[in-house]
Amino acid sequence: MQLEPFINEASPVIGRLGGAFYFTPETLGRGRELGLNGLQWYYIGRGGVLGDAEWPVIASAFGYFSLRMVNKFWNSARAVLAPREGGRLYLECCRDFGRKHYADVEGLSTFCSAAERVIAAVDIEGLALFAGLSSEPLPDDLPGRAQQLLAVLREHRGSVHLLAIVGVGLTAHLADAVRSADNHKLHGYEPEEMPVPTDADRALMVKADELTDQLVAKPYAVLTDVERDAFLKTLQDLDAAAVAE
Amino acid sequence: MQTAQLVKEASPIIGLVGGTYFFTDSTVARGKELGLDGMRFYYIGRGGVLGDTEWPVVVSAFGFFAPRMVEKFWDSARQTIEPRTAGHAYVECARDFGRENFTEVEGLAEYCAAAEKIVAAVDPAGLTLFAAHSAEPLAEDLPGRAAQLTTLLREHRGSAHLVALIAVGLEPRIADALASEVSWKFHGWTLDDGPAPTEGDRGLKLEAEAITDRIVQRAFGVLDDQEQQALLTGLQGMSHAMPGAWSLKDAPN
Repeated sequence: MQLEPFINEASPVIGRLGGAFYFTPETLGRGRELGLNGLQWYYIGRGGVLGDAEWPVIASAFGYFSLRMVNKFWNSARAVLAPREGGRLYLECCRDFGRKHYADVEGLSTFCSAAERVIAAVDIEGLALFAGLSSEPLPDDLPGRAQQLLAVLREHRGSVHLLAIVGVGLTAHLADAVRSADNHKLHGYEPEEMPVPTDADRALMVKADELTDQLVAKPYAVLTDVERDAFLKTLQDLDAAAVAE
Repeated sequence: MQTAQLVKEASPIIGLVGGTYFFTDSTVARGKELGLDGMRFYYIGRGGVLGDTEWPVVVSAFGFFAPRMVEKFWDSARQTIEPRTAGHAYVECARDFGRENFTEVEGLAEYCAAAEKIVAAVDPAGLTLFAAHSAEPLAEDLPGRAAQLTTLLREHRGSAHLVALIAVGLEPRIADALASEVSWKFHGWTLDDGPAPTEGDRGLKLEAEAITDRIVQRAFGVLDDQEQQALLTGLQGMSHAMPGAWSLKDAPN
């Protein structure tokens, strides 16, 4: 499969699977054992790979969330758990998600090798959260490894998208409002804090989405058409397995 | 004044004043006290505000530098000192640079107020190194505070420029080669690292400069006429008070 249709088909699945472990009962249960509620666990777990940074670094790497929300959850979680430790424990929840769901999926070895080649081909400049997560060691078991690689590929697109938004001249907050006026609930804003996007903002968002696809596609060029077919097939099998109990 | 004009006038001075402390005698001496040579203190100091992270995060936030060089200096410096501790010490060197050079500069209170207004208006999303530096508390004394704020404005443009280069599809390494040979070597690149810049790359770099200006203008746009003047007056005062050996052409990238 050629690069462009491949990116169009693979990206939503990677987005869904790479973050599928964030709020499962198992992940939330692990957070509770550590003394963290779901959002504290999400922030310190996902952001912990960046180190014992102050909350603006997390706000900068995550984007979209209101600063006071990041401040509140990051700082309260940090009082309970060192960020790097939080990052490692959260990553173990990520791997466990794969172990629970992907044990019977075929072709994981080929899938993992391909994903690792893509990740190795990424230029990490400007992609903080991707750089942080991709620095963590991969587990030896294939289901755990596959899920961790999916999380890394998800952070790749996420970090690239944030960069594209800023690069076209929008801000993450404006982009969020263009995407959906309802995003304020998820990202910790009052409804009246959401800007009203102009037509120019909407046009820039189209440009940001195009730029995202273009930049995300670059490292996937290391795969041949045939390898991309196989990658997508396994991705679809993983998607089906992820929702099965 | 149009914001675009303000940014055009202010940026070269910010670039110079905000980065000179990196390798002054005082900064290098402070590094030695901590057991670090100049380059190690630079990496773990400027990057230490990010936290105890792995070197690829530092590569992602700094941009421009050869990853092998960041790995070497970051990892070896980390064996000597905790990144956040080094970050605090390095920020203190930035403040000390102001204390050593800017005590006689007039208008620093108004300068600081204007600079703080800009910093508060920045959406930190995507601007990692700026975000990390902006989280450090500001010095109470005016010369120290003015110098620290100028480093923040410098990191703001630097982080924005990195985003802009990647957005136009120009590798920061190539952009660096276009900027100057000195800068390219400083960032750890050698002739073996790949293709020379093309004419097309020059065009992309200009495009990236324009995008950088637009990102920076978004934050600088919060200033009224009086605040704009205060910003420029402060910057000019500081640039005239710089140690004799420094001029714009020596500005580190």
